[in-house]
Amino acid sequence: MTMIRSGLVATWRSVRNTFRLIFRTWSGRIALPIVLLHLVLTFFGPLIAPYSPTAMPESIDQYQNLPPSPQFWLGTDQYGRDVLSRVMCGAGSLIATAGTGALLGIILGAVVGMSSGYKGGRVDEIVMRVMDGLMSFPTLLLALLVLFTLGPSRFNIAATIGFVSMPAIARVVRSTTLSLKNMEFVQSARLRGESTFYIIFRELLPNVLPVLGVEASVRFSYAILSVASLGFLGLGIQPPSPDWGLMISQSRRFLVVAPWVALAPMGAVASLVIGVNLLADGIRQATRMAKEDKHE
Amino acid sequence: MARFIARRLGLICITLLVVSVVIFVITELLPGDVAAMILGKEATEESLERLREELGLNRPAHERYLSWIGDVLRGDLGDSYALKMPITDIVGRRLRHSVILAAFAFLVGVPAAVAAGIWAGMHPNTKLDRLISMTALVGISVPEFVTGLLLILLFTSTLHLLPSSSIILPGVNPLTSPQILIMPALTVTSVLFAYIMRMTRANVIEVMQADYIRTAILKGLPMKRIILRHLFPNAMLPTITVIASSFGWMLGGIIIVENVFAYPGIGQLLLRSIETHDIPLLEVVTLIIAGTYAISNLLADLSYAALDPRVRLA
Amino acid sequence: MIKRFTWLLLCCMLVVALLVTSCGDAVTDEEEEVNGEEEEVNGEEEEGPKYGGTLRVAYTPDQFSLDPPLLSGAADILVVHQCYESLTERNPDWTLRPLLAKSWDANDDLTQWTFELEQGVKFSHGKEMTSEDVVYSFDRLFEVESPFASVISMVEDIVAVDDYTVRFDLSSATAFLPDLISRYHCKITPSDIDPERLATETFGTGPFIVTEHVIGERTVMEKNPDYWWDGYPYLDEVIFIYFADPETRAEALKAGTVDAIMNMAIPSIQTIEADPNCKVSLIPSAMQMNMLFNVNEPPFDNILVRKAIQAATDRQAILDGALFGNGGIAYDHCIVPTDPHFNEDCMPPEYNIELAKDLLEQAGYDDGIDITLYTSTLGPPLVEMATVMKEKAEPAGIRIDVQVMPEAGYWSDVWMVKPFCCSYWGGRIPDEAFSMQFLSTADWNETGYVNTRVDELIIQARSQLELADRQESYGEAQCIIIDEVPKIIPVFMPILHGMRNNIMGLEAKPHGDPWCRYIWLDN
Repeated sequence: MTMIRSGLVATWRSVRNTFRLIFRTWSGRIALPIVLLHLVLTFFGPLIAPYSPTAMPESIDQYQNLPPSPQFWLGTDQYGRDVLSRVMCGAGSLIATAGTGALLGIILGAVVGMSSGYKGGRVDEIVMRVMDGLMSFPTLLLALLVLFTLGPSRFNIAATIGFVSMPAIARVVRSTTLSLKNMEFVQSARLRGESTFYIIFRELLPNVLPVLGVEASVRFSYAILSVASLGFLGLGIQPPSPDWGLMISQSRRFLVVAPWVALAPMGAVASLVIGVNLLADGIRQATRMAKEDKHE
Repeated sequence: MARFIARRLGLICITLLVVSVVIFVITELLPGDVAAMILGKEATEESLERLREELGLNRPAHERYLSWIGDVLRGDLGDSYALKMPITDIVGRRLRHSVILAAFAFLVGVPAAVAAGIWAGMHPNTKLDRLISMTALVGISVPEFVTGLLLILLFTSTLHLLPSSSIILPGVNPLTSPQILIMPALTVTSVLFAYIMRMTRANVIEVMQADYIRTAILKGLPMKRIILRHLFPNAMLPTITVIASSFGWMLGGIIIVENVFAYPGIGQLLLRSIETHDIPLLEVVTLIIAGTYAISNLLADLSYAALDPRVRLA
Repeated sequence: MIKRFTWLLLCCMLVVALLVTSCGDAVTDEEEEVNGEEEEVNGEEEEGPKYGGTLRVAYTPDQFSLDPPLLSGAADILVVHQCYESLTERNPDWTLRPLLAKSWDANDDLTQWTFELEQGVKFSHGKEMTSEDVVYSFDRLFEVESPFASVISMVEDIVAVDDYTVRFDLSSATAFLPDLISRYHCKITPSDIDPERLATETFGTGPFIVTEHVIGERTVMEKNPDYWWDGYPYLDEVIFIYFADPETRAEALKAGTVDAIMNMAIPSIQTIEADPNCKVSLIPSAMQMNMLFNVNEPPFDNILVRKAIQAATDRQAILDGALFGNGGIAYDHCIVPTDPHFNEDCMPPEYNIELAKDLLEQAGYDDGIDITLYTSTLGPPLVEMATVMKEKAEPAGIRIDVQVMPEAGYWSDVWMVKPFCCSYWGGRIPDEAFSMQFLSTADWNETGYVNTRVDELIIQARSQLELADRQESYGEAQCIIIDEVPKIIPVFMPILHGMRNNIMGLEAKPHGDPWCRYIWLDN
């Protein structure tokens, strides 16, 4: 128990330091407000949205595809629903699905990568060949195949994203583990007779974390892109839930007559991914700075 | 070298074989009766049975797989269930369309990305570098369907310059009306540019800090010479890897782009074969995409080895 | 006597046809009158139709086989219409006209119909069409178990009286036989061709001949040089090009890659109208969208649940949200309000949340009910209908989970399998519509609904000559169906075609299938 707690404390300390550093970078300063805004929408979107995202007005024909106005800031859609409210409420499902997927991928990837790298030998060889095999598939293709088998549901999408992003993470984590494995502090822990679990959790994990942090933010942005793309192809979240990808594909036919219905979710998904990618940049620079700080 | 290639090709073959089994299993698990799907709403039980017999759907799965893979190895890709045509005919044309689009995007994207990357890498943290980097970041971040639809809004709805879709009628060569390729190619390029430019920039920065470049600069060699003789070959190494592997990525990534512009390429074919549960077609298309992906990765490694004498392939 | 009566009846029955709401400015300028064999074009300038040219039509790739009695795919039906002909045909305005049969007559109790055939009509491979081919075609229809067989099950025997006379012997009286056999399943095929070939080739008497047929891609049809109508068709060539999704079809039209979209998707109206090079022709029709219950499966075996859902159906909202107000409100049965058989005395309740709640409580669902509505992106806006339905039924405690299923496999795995799903039906005359959807023995009785009184009324109406009598039979059937709600039919869809401005003679008619023989290009 103490072992786990001390592991968590060390992990938390490095996370906190990284955050402090992120804010010192140029991209981090731009990214954090964007990401924060999306996070606020994720948790409070439905509460602060001016209208219900799904409710339709009593007489639909009077509210159909209205252009932006003071009453409806981003206009209305085919059913007379407020586009702004739909965009605000759509953040949650996208971020939650993509986030779960990315997290799943990171956990799977970290476990596979660390244990495979630490164990080495034949196990490592086989695991890495399997990962190579999985990586020889374009991820979208793999996701399409898996989703068509399982059928679209929020959980399936997250699981699929986790599964397809695992190999890349495992690979990165493994190479870091390999270089850490022969370092003094790991060797001495081994000599002390610590268990494999202890070494992986207490010694390796905190040091793999910076790599994982960069990888996590990159994976998160990929996950968002994937979830949105799957939604666009009609394989994501089902209507009438306000899903950005789905909203874009459904409003595509009105692109000429009511471009705002498509533009709003397009802007939302683009800004989210830009924010996350900038954050990834920030984390990357921050970890580099952290390393330099250590050297000084 | 030969041994390395042989080993890698062997690995690719094994991977593809595994892939084909996996897809076969997946399609087995897919809900829906192929015969019912082909015959549609008004099928009778009798005609269903006849069709199942005809397609060999009554045989056990492993038997069907073995006979299928045997045919494929003999060069017979079989017939598509839904389109009732030899798959070779369907895939050949679609693949050509996709390759034309990819090549078009490549010709525009890669030189621009490399040039921008080198410039940005040599002048890091200047205003223009920031701008280029920001553009690249946006390019990476914005999903293809958003870029595509924005281009349609700009070039079709606002400027009325280009057709909003890239539909090619059967039997027509896309090169006869190259304007339909512009928007899809630009969309593919936006992502491609971003990846390659970022990679080039990072490499250039790294190489610029290397001792031999510093020495060259201190020696007072002309900048042009430094770029061509020292910087370019070294910085391009990893870039070439990215370029080669992104070709494979493109064949998969253009699924979305082709969908946005209704461009009849391999990606559209893939979506359609999934929708219609056209298993033989799905198998072939997936294998083509996975195979291209694997081979372009191999080419990436080979080009890396060819350019860098330090890398010895064993 | 009877013939004239049928004519009159059908003429007045579809006054609907007069409601040509065309939104493209070009169409309204030139009112076209398609009248029997004559087609007059009253353009501003005295210009007649022009000959020649190729028409490229975008269509949905819904196709399986070109064999007339086995037709089911929308694309196959459209192709077959251009290449084959039936004994009778519905004019674009839905009146009945003679085609391969130049006249017909029945005995007094309507159990024996005799058709005189046109002479000298040749199939595209050169054989002359005679009574032998007609008998062969109908025998085959029953032999291959065409889905239409149940609709004309009263036909007991078809006899070739002489080379140009055919007699239908019926087991029960039917006033509608000439009308029923105008349907696409009843096209006349030659008796000397191996039926296997009919799946991919055409051997009809129609204005066009299929020369190339690539499933899922295109069908090329060339003008039949020996077509027996003088002066028709105008076009040299018609090419159907298949695109899977409606947006692509609209894009292809805007880009000029195709000249027309037949049976265009409703959401495309606005963008096509906004394009100065394109026009839209639209008319309300008897095509319906519906949500059907399996009345034998819980909870839908409980009539109160069905009635609650009926009360929670906001028909106007579905019309606006899914069809942009084009089309018309339907009242859970297949008769359009403009049809003389429509019964105004029986109406389902207006959209009423309180009533729905009450009914639901009576049914034993005090806390509301959770149900799943299956739908798909097939042609008509079924997903949109389901989306509006879900939203509008929610306040009544009817919580609908909308499941969008893949198009492939919808008819085999969802329709008539899942207990609550969406489907749609083409417009049909009352007898056919009732017989196909509500007769308990019908192949496509999608709800599993059995009511012997309704069966009786449908059969009884077939032999009723007076409109007033039929009004009574169909009127009662409507009341029963509204009251027992085997399915919710909220709206009738419009029929519409989108086309480039130079396409003439292609107008939306309540009869869904456009005839290419009237179309010409004004270049």
